[in-house]
Amino acid sequence: MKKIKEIRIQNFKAFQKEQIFPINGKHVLIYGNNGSGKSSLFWALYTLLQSSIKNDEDVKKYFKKYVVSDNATHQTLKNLFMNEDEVSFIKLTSLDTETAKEDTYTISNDIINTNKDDDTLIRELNLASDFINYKLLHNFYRAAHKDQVNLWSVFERDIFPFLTEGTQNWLDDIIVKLTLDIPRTPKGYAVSSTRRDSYEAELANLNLKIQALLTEISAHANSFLKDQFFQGKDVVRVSLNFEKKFRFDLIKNRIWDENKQGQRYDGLHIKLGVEIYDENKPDKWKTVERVQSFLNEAQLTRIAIGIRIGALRTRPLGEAKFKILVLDDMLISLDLSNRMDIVRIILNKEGKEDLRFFDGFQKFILTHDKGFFNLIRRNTDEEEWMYYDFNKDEKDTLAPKIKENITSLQAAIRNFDEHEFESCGNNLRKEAEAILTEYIDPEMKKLNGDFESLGSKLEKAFNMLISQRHQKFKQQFLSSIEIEKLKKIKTNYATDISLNAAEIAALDGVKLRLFDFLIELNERKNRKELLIEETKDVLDRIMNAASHLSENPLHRTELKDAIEKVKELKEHLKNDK
Amino acid sequence: MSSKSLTWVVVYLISNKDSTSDTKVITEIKNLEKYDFETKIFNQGQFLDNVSYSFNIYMDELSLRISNLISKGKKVLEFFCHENIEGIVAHKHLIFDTLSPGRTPLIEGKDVKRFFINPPSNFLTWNTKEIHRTRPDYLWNAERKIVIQRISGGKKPLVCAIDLKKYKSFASTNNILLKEKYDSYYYFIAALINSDVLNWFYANNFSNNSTLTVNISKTYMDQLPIPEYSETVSFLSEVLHFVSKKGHQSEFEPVTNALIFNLYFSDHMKEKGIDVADKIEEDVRAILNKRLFKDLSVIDKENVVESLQEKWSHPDSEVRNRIKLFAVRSPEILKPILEN
Repeated sequence: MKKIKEIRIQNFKAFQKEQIFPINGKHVLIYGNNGSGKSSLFWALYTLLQSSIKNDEDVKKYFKKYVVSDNATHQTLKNLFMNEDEVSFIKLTSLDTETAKEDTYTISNDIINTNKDDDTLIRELNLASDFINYKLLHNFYRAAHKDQVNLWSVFERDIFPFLTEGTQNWLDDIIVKLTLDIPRTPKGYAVSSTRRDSYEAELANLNLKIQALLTEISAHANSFLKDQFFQGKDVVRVSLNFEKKFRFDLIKNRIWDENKQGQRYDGLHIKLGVEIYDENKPDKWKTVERVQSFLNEAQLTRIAIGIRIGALRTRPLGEAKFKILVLDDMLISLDLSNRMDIVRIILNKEGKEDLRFFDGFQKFILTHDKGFFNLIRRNTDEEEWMYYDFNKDEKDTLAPKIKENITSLQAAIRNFDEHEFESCGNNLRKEAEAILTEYIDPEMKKLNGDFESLGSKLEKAFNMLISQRHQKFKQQFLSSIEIEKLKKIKTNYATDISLNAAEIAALDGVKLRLFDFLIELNERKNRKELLIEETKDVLDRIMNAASHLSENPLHRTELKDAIEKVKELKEHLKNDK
Repeated sequence: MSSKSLTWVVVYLISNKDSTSDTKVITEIKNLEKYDFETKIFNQGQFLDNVSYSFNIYMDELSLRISNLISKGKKVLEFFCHENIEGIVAHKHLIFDTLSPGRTPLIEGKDVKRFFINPPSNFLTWNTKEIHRTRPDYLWNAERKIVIQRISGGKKPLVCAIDLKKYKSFASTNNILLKEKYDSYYYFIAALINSDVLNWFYANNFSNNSTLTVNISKTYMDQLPIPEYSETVSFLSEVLHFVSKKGHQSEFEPVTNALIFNLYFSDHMKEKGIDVADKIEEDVRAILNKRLFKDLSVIDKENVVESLQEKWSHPDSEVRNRIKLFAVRSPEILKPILEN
């Protein structure tokens, strides 16, 4: 497998001086307020991946110095406030997880090495990766609340640009290229006869191709909706039909010109069909005639996400060795509970077989919601994830301030080193809470429940461990041996003639398991109940003092012990999952 | 010569002491009197591997290299053919739009689709005295023949289907009968003729990638390179003929094309991790379970089709996923053919 080891961006959109993300193959979670540069990272990655299927000139245009009189420079994405001569680039270093081989890919005005035939790694990354942003659901709702549910605009803005077939972008290379204009005579008139027939045949092929893609997407969407939202039951199914297609007379109007969006959205129509399961119907499915009045927002969201995941699944995920999934506030219009449902699916915490396709992605989750950030952070592991805070005042002209968002335990250790003992205590408490929450609710099912105190969580964890121990004890020692014969375990039963060989062997087995159990119970690493009790004691002593500004001075040694205790708790409870 | 077309060759000889292996080829005459030509320089070395003995002077080095790879070590179609011949020519008064005694269904080029022949809408009075070029009886009596659109064009000019109904065919078609010893090759050859590989080969070598009307020439067809016989390609072609009757070709055409790519570029595809032959054959074997497709009932055939379709449309299918990687992993061979 290949992963992104490092990203470097300079003078591109919100980024100014070189910004380095040394992510080392990990997933990335970013919190940042609006305008803080999250989307700049999203577009930097997208631009680099797409560059692999463009020619050099089409890539360079994003890095050119802006010149008012030169239209060719007007698509530049250089930062508006940097010195115009400052170099602009995006660099990505890949890491082969098996061989540790690293390769660096750059796009800039001078260097482009992502689109060469002798190294197709970024093309493969581009083919298998996906980018979903906050506009998807917004555009979906807007399209669905009209009398005619027409998803063309959703596909044009949120799906086709992110889909690639081979080395062709669906929007630019497959759709727009052919439909930019009809073939014309040198004087600009529409061609006729053979040339028109031949062009119309190409359009017919394009329309068929689009319909084939829509059919594939809806098949994947239906399977996803059924498995993930309806517990494997038939409830709702969708279809996508390209009803108003590309045709000569429509294209004649040059529908991709500026301010022709309205003509496109009227002239092209992808119909969303919805059916609900109905026992009484001969074919068990009933068509919903007025989709927009039938679907509430929650249902619509599920369908939108189902279709978007359906589009994601058209990629060759199983075979591609390099792929990323970038989600830029994709779920922001949902309430927290629904958002977490989706995140649970994407993180596949339960290790579901039918969600395995998410596992191979290196994920980038960007959000401006601190609560959401904290929830995901708490339920992910710093060994596999990097966390960043982006900060920028929308009004100022400076670059975003980006810092790594470290765990509470990491912060506590740093506080300790800097003699900030009160902060250290508070961070230890936060870490302990996070560890216990993760242990008690590994699948994040009660994330939106009532507030639970640290003491209550400790007690819950303690009870869970006791209960597990009891279960294990029962499994090992509830025996089918008659009780009178079992009592003989205390005697020298090996020579007891009232026992047959099988019974002696069974008693041997019980005895052996009992010894093992005793040894295991007494090994420190297995005494998790004790660990919780000790943690409770140490936290009570240290953290109450820290958070209540007690006059008792915090003792350095006690804090150090507490740090070790929390580390130990984290390690042991993690292994117990 | 106004409004007439003709074929001509201009050989322009000049004395030149500089002896290199470069050859200057005239590609367009601007003004003959003034010796004003558009030319292109070829290095003769690049023709050394070309065994098809047909040269497209417009072909670039990359296309020539792919063409050579396609042809290398292959027999040509002519080797397998007993007959490769145009259909009949008949005057309009012999052709009707209804069937009645004495008339026989007549198919035209436009009736021939990939793996499917539309039901004929023309019927011919079979009057051998009035029909020009009636063609030998054995062509019309053959149990099967491959019918090819003769007037075609575009990037995929070769379109054919197998006729099992002994249709008479018009001059807008070419008709192939195979030699007796290759009687089992019909579906195989039909799949090759319809394939991306041979369409690319024909368009690049013989029709200059023209988007206009092209006359599919028997002479050029004869030069199509044919790889080793593949039972699985033959099976897939049979399936394609079966499903095309029902108006859809779904997953089968890309999979068939992929397998044909594998016949021509086996080593290259292995090297790139995109070979599909073993996996397709494995999937087919598992579902056919030693049965022959032709011996199955219609319901069983439909079940086979459905099972394979389900397998190859599944997002985790290795076959499907490798096919999707063809152009990316093979920029030097498969991409130019697929994204031509």
